[in-house]
Amino acid sequence: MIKKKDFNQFVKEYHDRIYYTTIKIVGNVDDALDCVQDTFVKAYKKYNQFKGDSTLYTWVNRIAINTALNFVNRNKTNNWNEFLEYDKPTKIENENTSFNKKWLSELSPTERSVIVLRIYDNMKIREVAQVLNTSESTVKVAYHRAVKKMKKIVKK
Amino acid sequence: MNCSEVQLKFPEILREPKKYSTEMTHVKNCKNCKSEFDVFKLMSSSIQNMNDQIPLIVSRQNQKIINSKIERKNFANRMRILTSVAAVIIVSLISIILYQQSGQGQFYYDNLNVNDIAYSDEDVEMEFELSEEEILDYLITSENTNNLDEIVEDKFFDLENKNGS
Repeated sequence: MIKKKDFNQFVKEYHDRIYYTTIKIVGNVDDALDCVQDTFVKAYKKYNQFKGDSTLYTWVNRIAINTALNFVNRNKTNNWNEFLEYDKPTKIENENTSFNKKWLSELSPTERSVIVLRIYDNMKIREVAQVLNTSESTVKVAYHRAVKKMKKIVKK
Repeated sequence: MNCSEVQLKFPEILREPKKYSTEMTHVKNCKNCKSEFDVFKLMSSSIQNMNDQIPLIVSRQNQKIINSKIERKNFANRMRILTSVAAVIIVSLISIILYQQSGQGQFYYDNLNVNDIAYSDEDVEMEFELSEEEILDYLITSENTNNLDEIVEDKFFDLENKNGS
């Protein structure tokens, strides 16, 4: 069992990164925060199952993605309006921001997960397949579909 | 190298264009891949820039909630262990009390048949020492003298000698 103090430090360090991964799949601040809570509590509870063949962050990130995906699959009617609350258009041009809000909601949960893991977490196709517990070909198909959808949105 | 393979490597090409120079050349020359790469770049930049969206106060609050949930989980675990131990102790104590109250030990001795007890020679001799007359009466009337024949004979012999002298 990990010491509570060490785990608190880990939470402090990686909370925001896990949140950013989660919100891109869940698309809703409140739900994302709930999922992040569940993720860290699950990680603490199942810490003895962590074999150490990857970093602790990778392991927790995997839990976060599965928690978020389970949440999205359970609650099909979730909305994406929460991005509006915390948008900071200082770094991104307004045009990009609006695109940003739109494209994520157009993707299916699996496509979103694939894109987030590929772009945000810099994972390879094989690693994404492992995290999502699916085949590499499924990941490739989801990735191509996501890019095609983006192209359509940009052209509109 | 086909378009599909190159498109799959867009994240890597974007991160390390020098390492993936062959793929980069393909992207520049292929019209379809170029348009897809532009879309991908836009998508990538927007996804990276989404990181500033959580206010610090929200993050801190959520961390506090996580810590308190873990604390509660720990407390619940500790309580579960304590409850289990307490339950075992209480059950043991109740069993002991009930056993004593039912008087099962007494019951065993009450139902024990005297004839089932195999007397040792010492026990018999101790009983003889109590009172010779009583012992003789007992031995004469007792059915359980099979294993005491020799002792009885000795005692009769002693008594005869005593009376004779």
